[in-house]
Amino acid sequence: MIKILPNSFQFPELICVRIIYNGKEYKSDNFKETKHKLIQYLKIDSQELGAIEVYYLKNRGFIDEEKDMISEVGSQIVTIIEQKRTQQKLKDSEEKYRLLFNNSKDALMTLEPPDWKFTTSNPAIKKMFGIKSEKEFTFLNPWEISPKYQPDGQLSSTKAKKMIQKALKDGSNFFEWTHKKLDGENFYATVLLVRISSGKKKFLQATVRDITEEKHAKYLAKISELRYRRLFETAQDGILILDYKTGMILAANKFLMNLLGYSKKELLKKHFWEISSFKDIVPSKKKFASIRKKKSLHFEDLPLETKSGKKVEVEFVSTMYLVGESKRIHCNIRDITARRKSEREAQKLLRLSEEKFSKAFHTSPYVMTITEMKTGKFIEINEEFTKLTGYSREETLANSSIGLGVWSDKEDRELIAAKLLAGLPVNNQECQFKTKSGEERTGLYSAQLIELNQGLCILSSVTDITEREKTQRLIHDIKNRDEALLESIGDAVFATDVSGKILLFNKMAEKMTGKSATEVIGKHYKEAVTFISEDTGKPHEDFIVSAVDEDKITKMGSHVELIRKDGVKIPVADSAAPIKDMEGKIIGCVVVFHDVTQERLVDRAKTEFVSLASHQLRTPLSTINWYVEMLLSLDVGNLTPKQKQYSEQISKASRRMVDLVNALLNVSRLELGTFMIEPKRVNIKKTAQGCLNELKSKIVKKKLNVRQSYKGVSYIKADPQLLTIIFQNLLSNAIKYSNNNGRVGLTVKKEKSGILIKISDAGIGIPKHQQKGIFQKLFRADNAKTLDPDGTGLGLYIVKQITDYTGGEVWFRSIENKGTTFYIRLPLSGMTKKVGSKSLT
Amino acid sequence: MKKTILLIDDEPALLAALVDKFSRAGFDIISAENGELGLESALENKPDLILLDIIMPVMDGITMLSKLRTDPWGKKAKVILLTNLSYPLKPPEGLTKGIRGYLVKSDWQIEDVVSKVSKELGV
Repeated sequence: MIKILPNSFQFPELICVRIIYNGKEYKSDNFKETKHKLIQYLKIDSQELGAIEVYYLKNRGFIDEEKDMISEVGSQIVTIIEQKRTQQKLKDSEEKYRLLFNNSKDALMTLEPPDWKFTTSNPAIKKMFGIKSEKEFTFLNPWEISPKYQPDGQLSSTKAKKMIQKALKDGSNFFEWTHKKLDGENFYATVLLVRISSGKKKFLQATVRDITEEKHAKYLAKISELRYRRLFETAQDGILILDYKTGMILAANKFLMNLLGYSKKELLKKHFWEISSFKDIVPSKKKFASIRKKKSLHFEDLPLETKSGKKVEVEFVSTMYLVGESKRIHCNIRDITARRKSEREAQKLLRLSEEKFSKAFHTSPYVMTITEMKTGKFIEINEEFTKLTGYSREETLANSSIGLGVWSDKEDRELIAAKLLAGLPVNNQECQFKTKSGEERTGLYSAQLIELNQGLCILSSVTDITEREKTQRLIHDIKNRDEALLESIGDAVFATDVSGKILLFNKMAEKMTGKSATEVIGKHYKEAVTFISEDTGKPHEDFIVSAVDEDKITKMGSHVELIRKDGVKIPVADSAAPIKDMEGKIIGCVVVFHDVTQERLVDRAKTEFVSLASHQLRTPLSTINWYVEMLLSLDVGNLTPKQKQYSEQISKASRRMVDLVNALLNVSRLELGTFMIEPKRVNIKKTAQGCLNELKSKIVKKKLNVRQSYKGVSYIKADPQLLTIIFQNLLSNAIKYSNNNGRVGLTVKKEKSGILIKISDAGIGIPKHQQKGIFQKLFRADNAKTLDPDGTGLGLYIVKQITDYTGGEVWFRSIENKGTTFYIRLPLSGMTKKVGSKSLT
Repeated sequence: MKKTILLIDDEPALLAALVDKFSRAGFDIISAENGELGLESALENKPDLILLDIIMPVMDGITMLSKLRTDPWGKKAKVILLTNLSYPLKPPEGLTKGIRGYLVKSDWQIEDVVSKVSKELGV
């Protein structure tokens, strides 16, 4: 478009042209230049044209000459523009065709006579016919990309030629054709042949469309239709199809007819509202119109009446849909009588479960509350809550948990609420609560969200563990104290479980064994701690096993050594005790031991002292004995009766002194535990008779009647020295405390429970009130003291100690002035062996 | 022929009593007051029997005995231990051979000691 601005025009050189062209501005300062530039610009650009303004710099009118020039330029410009436009149109059309040709999904090609081969083709043919390039395709005949026969049985080549002739004749031909890809696969297509005339030459343009997909879609649609029919007929829902406009029943399925008791004839072509079953939904045509407006209807719980008047409960859903141009209403009618019934039952169950919940809630031993999620307002609380917090039910339910201040830390509640909302579990979370009186309590808080009429709520339960915590703290304290005690105790202590695995190993145990607790814990004690018997060097841990097995506190026995990590042997004393749980079941064993090196040294020193002391005491006594003896044997001349009498007194006292020293020596050895028990095969009868022989002078002097009886036993396993001491003491007592002409009995017999030695007399007896102390060291009964002031008070004590050590027992029966019987029972297996350094005298 | 007895004891009173009693009984007596002197005397005089005390100064009886047993004659010498130790510090293995008795002085009358020795020597 050229617009000449209405101004006067005097100096051509001053004419300027401004062209707004395609959004760009071109300017020239004088007309000559403008003319040249304009033409140049317009030649360059062939696209959309803008406006051209011609105007003058100075404000004046055009002169004629200028007007001519302008019109000349204008006509030139118009010519150029027109030219450009035509060119552009042609180009556009060509471009469009080219685009269509190249991008079409349809295969496009030209067929040229006389042999009807393809001349040109578009890229779509590659995919459609499975070929690599268009070149490959050119010069093929249509029947060369077809199977030999078409579906109607005609040869493809014959039929194709017919089709070509028809297109040439009619101008175009549209038909279905079965093609074949070069790899052999057939496909369905439609072919449009169009006759094109170019001068005298006539050729065909072919458009081939692959309709395999379409055919498939049609097939699917058919199947879908069949499926729908089957569904319609066999559905377990009633289906009713109504005409949208008229409300006429178009179809009803079998199920619906069975449900309502109507026949097909009674339903079809009737108006919906004419069927009495539907009278509640659609009592009139008017109402149907209003339903129509809603497009979709849903009755949850609709009672329908069957033809016979029976009530059925149904769910009724109607939806409008389009079939082609016509609208229909599809009604789905589901018999929910059974469902309702089961729902009613479920409701009953629900009520029951609600009741149960309520009961559980109110009688729970835990604090239970239901609060609103957002506000914390109490909706329900149980009695436990009022008990524990001190708030009454009324004041609680009128308030919220925050308002009441039951949370010691309000943040706890926020965190819990956030957690619950995030779907995280809140289980036994430890929280602090405050009661009405301000007391702090600790509780384990569990909660979950529940949906109530009030909205989202929190159902929470709290276990008050304040007391438990206190107890636990106490237990913890006690445990700490005990552990500290165990660690600092001077004895080595370790504990094992029933299987012998070490659970605890204290400082002293570490120090003594040279092994660290971490090193031994979890190991079997046999691996970790080695106790050996001092004489045999063999492992010694029976005491631990028997503590567990026999359920008693056991001692290690003397002369046990611990092998330290570095191999050094340390003498130890120890004991093991079973650990029991609350029910008294044995769950382990605690072993306590300590280093007895020092004690051993002291013991040895004591033993040596006693030995030496007795040696020292005996030497002067021996001197006295021997010299008196020599005096009395008249080695150095006769003695006067008085001298003889005095010498005899000296001798007797000295003998007594020797006895006393011997007895004390034995007591000392018994008490130190240093004596040994070495059981041997001993003839018990010979031993007893040997002792009686030594006492013969006294028996004769007192004219005692000694009766002996040995039944079922001749040899026993016993330490001869100890057995002798037993016989010596008991027999000498029996003789000493017998009256003249008295009777002394000695019986040895084998019984089931052991070897019984019975020594009886008919002497002074033991006063009843003193019988209790008879085995005590240095104890003497009053009547015995009167009769024999020289007794040591050690004999029975020694007998008792020996029987205790050897695994035997001793007891007696005595009546004052009637006599005494002592019983000794030794185990059938004989005396128990004991290792020691000294024997008794 | 008179039998010779070597009495070794550090207690003069007891030694005197023994010398007196054994002389009366018709034995030839040599005496020594400790193990060392006793050993010298034994090897020199080769007595028929040695009555040996255990606890003595200078050299105790057990040491003396062990040294005696290293001598060809001493190996077979008859020895009776006469002591006031109620149970001996056991002589080491190999020394017990040839020991004819272990007598505790305080339990034995001197007369009985003489009888025991006479019996051992077949007198």
